Amino acid sequence: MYSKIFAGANILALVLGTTPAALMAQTAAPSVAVPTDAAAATPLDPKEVKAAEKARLKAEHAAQQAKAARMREWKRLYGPGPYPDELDAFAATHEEKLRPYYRVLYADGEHNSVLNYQRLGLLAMEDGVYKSAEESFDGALIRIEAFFSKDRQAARATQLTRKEVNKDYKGEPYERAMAYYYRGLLYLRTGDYDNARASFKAAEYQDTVSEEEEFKSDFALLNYLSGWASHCAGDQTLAQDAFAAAVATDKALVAPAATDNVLVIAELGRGPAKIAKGQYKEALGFERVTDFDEDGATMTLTPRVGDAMELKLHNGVDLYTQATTRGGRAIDSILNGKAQTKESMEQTGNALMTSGMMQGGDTGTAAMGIGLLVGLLSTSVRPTADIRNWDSLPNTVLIGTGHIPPGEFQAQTRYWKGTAPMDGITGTVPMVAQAGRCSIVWTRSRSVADLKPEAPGDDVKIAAQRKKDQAALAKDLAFRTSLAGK
Amino acid sequence: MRRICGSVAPVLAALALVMGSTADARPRRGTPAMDLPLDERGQVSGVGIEGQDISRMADQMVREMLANPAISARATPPRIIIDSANFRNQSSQRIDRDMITDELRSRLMNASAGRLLFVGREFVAAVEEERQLKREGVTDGGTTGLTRATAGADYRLVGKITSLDSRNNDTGMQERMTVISFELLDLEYGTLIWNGTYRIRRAGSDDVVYR
Repeated sequence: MYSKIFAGANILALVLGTTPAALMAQTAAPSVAVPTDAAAATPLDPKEVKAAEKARLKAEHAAQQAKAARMREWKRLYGPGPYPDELDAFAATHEEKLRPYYRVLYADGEHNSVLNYQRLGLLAMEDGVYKSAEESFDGALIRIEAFFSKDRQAARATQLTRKEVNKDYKGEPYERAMAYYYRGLLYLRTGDYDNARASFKAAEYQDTVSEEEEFKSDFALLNYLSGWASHCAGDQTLAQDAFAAAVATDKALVAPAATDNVLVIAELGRGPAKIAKGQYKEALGFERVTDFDEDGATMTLTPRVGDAMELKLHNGVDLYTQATTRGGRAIDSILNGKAQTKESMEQTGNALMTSGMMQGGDTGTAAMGIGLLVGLLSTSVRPTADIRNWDSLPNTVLIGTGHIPPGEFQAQTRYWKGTAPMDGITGTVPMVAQAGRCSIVWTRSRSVADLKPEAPGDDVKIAAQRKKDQAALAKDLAFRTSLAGK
Repeated sequence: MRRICGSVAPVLAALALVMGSTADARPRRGTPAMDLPLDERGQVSGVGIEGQDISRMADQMVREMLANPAISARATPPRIIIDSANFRNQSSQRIDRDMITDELRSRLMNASAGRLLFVGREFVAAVEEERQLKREGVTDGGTTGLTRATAGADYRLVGKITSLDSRNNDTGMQERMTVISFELLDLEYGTLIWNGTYRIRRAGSDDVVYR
């Protein structure tokens, strides 16, 4: 009986292009529906059993070899890792829409973790996966708040032959402030007004690094939101102080009425892009992204009971202005120093080459040799500024408040260019939440989902070099271990 | 040739110094998980409230509260509510307030050894549910007997966290003064019968590449 099955498997295996043993292994349990007594009565052919076992071992060996070849290929492509199967396994533990971003977070390690967390957090917030959004912004903020005082990668960023991008990303003050801003909005969503206020206050503190006094603490939106959190918490004195600070900075803002219980935020367009300027790309600069037209928004709130209310939203902040009014960074002088060294080396090399050619003889040849060497070495001086950028930030944040009866309501946004409605832009599905005394509506004219999962501005070569740096590898390993442990 | 070598060597030596390449002597693997003392500074720190602060703060509050005879030396142990409902965070640091009030309650319960009674008002719904089951006969009366009502409290611990941040942009130094203050509120008369304050003043600066 068994031999008949095996013969049948031979034929089927030929048809399917596999080995009889492999086919038997796949189908053994369901297909050998032989009564126990019959099987016991018909002895198996030892030769066939041996052949089947041999084929099984061969298939096993082939699978092992294929796995080893795959690992060799992965090692060649990805160095010490992480490898695709590891990334897949990690990403599979998260919402499908967020998986590409989680893969990048895992693959990039500690180096870009703050940036990847910020981008992931915003996508998760837009998609309504609030737990992931909260965890992501917490992951970014815990790193922003910690002091990197003896950090090897930070020290490398200042070395003559290393680019600034060697440092682990923390972002510019406006980017750090925005991470707090989004975390604050998520706290407002859950009615945790104390921590929302703490987030907005910490965000505002990031703005105090500006060199120019007039631009210190000019992020009026954050004062306003801090006031709103206090307003919702019932801390009216704190609320009034914060609203007064906001209005003092931005006269267009109006403190909410005492009865206001809904905060509406609409974000427009795309935030500033970072560029490296200067002869050697040593200076960090910003460009306003202009691929959008909307410059205003109105929000219609329709409660289940009662009349609909239309709110005209006011400009709360222009992020390009925030990015460009910070003044110089401490590292700018280091990058300038690198650029000057590079220029000096190039000039010295050229001068030696020219003088050597004119001089001729042994001394001239030596001078040319040294000139060539100095010129070559100047290419290893790298003053390039770090332009990793939180590209999913908006250009403008609009804000408004109003009073709405308790209970559920619907929110619909209309975007404007001047006085002309832009009905072709529907924006993202708004985050609408009511917890505690107040409600919040948050939406964006441009979806984060249009962007690539990888953050812009990273340096592929530096990322590859990191894999040869044992200290960086150890950090990345610890980071991935902590991710996998969540 | 010697003259050439003599002129090249110092240039190369100087360049080697300038390039500043360093050998990597860091461990290959990550840091394994470790247990850290609760009242000592951890591996990662900033200017905000940290784990050791909560431990030290709770310790100080327990000592001060138990040293007050109006609270701890009464013939009938006073009933106190300690939860985060009236403990506010007005600082610039995000924090789980329960972590502070739970730690404080836990230490007070252990240290007071019956001189204080704690009312679990945040769990009142669970208490009411069980009382109803007992009174409806769904469950028996338990072993401690039935009471006419749940415990009323004499005092409630209230308080707030506040902070003041400052920064020196020339040096990159950041500083934060955090004040955690507690008060014991008489729930009948409205007076404050005890106050305890824990202050943290902490400064530090980030690496120059982040300033």
